[in-house]
Amino acid sequence: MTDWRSYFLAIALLVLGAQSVWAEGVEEYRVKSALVLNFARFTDWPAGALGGEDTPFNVCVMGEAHLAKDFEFLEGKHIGARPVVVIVDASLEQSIACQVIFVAGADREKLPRLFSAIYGRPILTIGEMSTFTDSGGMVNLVNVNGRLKFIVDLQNLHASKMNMSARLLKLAYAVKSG
Amino acid sequence: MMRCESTPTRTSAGQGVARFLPSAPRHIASLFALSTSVLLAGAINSAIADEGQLDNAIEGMDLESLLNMEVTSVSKKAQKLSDSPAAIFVITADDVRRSGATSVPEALRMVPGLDVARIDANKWAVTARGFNGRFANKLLVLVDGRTVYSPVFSGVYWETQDVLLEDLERIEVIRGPGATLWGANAVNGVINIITRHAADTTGTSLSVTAGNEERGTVSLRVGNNFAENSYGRAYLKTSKKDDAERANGDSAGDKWDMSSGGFRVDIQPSFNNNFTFQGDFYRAHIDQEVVFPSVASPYFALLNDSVESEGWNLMGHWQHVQSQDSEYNLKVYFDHNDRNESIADQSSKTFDVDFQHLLSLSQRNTLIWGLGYRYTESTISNPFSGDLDKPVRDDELLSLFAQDEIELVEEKLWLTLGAKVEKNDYTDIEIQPSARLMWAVSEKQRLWMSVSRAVRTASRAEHEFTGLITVVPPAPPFIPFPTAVTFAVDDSYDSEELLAWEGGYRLSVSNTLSLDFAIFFNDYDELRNTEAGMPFFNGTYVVQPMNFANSLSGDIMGVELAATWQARENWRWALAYSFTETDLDTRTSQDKVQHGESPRHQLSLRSQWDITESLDFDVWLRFVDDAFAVDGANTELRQMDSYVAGNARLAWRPSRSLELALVGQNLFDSRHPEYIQESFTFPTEIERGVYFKVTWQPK
Repeated sequence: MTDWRSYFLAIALLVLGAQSVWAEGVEEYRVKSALVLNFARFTDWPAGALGGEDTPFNVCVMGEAHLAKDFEFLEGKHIGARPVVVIVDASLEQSIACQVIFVAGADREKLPRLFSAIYGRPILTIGEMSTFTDSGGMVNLVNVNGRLKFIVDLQNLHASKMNMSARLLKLAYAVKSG
Repeated sequence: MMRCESTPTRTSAGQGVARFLPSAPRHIASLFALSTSVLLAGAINSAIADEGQLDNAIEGMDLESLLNMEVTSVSKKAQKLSDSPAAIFVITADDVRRSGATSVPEALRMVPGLDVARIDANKWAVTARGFNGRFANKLLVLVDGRTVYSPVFSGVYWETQDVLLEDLERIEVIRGPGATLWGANAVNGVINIITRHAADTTGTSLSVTAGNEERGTVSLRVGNNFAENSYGRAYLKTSKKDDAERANGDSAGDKWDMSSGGFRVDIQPSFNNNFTFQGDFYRAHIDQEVVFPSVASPYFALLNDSVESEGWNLMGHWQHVQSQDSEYNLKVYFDHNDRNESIADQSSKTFDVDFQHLLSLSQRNTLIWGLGYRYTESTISNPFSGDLDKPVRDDELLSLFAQDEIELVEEKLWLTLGAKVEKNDYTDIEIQPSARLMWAVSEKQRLWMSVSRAVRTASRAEHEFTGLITVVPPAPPFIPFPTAVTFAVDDSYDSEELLAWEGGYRLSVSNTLSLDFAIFFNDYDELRNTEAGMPFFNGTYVVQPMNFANSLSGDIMGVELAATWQARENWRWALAYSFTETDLDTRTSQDKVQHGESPRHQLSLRSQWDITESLDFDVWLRFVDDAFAVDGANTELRQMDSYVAGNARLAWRPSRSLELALVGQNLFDSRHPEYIQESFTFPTEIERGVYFKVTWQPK
């Protein structure tokens, strides 16, 4: 085989292979949605905060909601006996009716207004930007070398009279206690 | 199906093969590695073929497994249709990195509706929607909310806007009047350069660039989470640029070097209070060859000049959220710039305070109002000719604005009404209102339209400068004396006015293809022109005074298209097309040479291909149609011929913290002219450039 032929073949293989190279991991927000579901299962809400045994459990996606379309997969799953209802791109007014809020993306500017609306309320807040817990958030997801880790801020969690199981906290990348 | 840390990935398998075959001919090694990757890729693809299976697997998975999964971020590329009722384009940090651009103006070439041309190694002409020039004065440029528009000559010295590209968050470009929120001089557009929050730059970044045009650049940034809820960074950068060439291949004598540094601190003491403090300094040494008109034979003077430019700024920003319905923003800055060159020495000190209040009046009605005060002390001294009554001048600018967004039909139709009132020392009170309508036709379509008024207030140079424009040599026997054409001071010179009609349509054709159209009709009145005054003889030469006037009107219309296509998960295309038609009502031969004309057609096509996760190959092609530039010395419009230019970039990341990039700029010709400055400098051509860049960001 002459040189140019092998180069040509190499390029052809490169082009064919290009697409599959990226199919390697699992889509980030798919995993994040599964993590959020798990966090909710290991979180203790104050008595009565979730309503009756079969009251819908609202998982709201805010921030750059278009990124986290995969959260729709959670619709119909259960937290205990409560069916999950997913609200994508929830408004500030809707936010107080959520049991979990996932803030997608890294748009910091609207965060203070969101926490003005919900701080201290029994809503599990999960985000993915570096200052999420500084802003009042409870759990922040970080990507460490292609794998997802989570940081818990206990002060913000306790401010809403919520808690997390020791088993969950043991898996945390970091736990901030204020 | 999941991928755990213990499972070797295909990429590492491929690299492993190559590592063990160091002595084999390179192409065989790479072929072997590639075939292995492709085969492995096929096996994995078939394993995850059943999407449903995957979903159930994820739901059923325990936390440990989820935390060990390798994730990809395809959604990060997802496009959201903008809900902004204006022609907006956002350049991301990634777009800049992959474009190979080493400065902000070079990156701006990817924006539809912008006309970017490089005059020489150290000068750029940038405008939106027409009226280009080195002294283009209808575009407002902000860095983190600080105006970098020079009040002295009304324009931007692009070469000294030395933003550290590694710390850039994004550049927002709004074509069309942004006067309601941003104020005077946001006539044809606003460019908002936004740097990253300090929490996003906690780490070290070191980059070194070397090449034939980009002779050398070293930049270092260190960032830190120095206290609870407090983040900071500092940077230093120094660079050296090669000179450009004249058409005959001679050096244009325009090499330059620049050093800059700065810091940013972000502190959030409580969830509803954010403080940002930041500052920068720069010092530039810029060579240029200039030509001045002269009343003595040979009636011009040549000079190898050097520009000494330096400046610094300090800014503080406080964001306070009172409740979910009320947010305050207070921004204060001080900015100082010095620029000494043979044309004139100029200096400015600006103190600016801006207050904004965002208020949700109801669920469907949001009001933003604000107040601003700006104090500027400017000094112009040692002009090459002419004189100023007083070299130092103080100016005050007061502004008040309000903008109300009303949701007329829930989730469907929004109306935005706004107005800004400004009081300046040249033209007193200016009122700039706008009305915008946004219709969400469907989830995948947006339609918007607007009408707005904007003004471009006079600059100090236009009001006070009395220098020579050009000198016409004597033509014996009829005209035995030279004629000096000079600017004359005229206090009646007024603001330029624009009434802009705009519309746009955005369409998300599919998850991978989105289109953004904009159309505009700009109706200008009171445009600047010059009118000849009464000539007189002063004993040695004839003086022909030229008065600035506002007796020119006209219109510019155009169409812009931006399209992005995610052809494959790892291959993205971006296209920008602009059509601009300039039609001024010129009545005299003088009128015809007052304003340049932007190219009728411009096309930019970018391809970003992630060959593998650690290897990028990017190509950028541009076509720029004929443009017309003001040639002040010869009082004519000079045609700048159309050109095609191409950039290419190959980057490899051998590890997560290291990137090696090879970039070629203007690859299609050894050099080509793009633009000329209005006066003082010679036509210069931009050369092909190649540079190598190493970026180290330890993780």
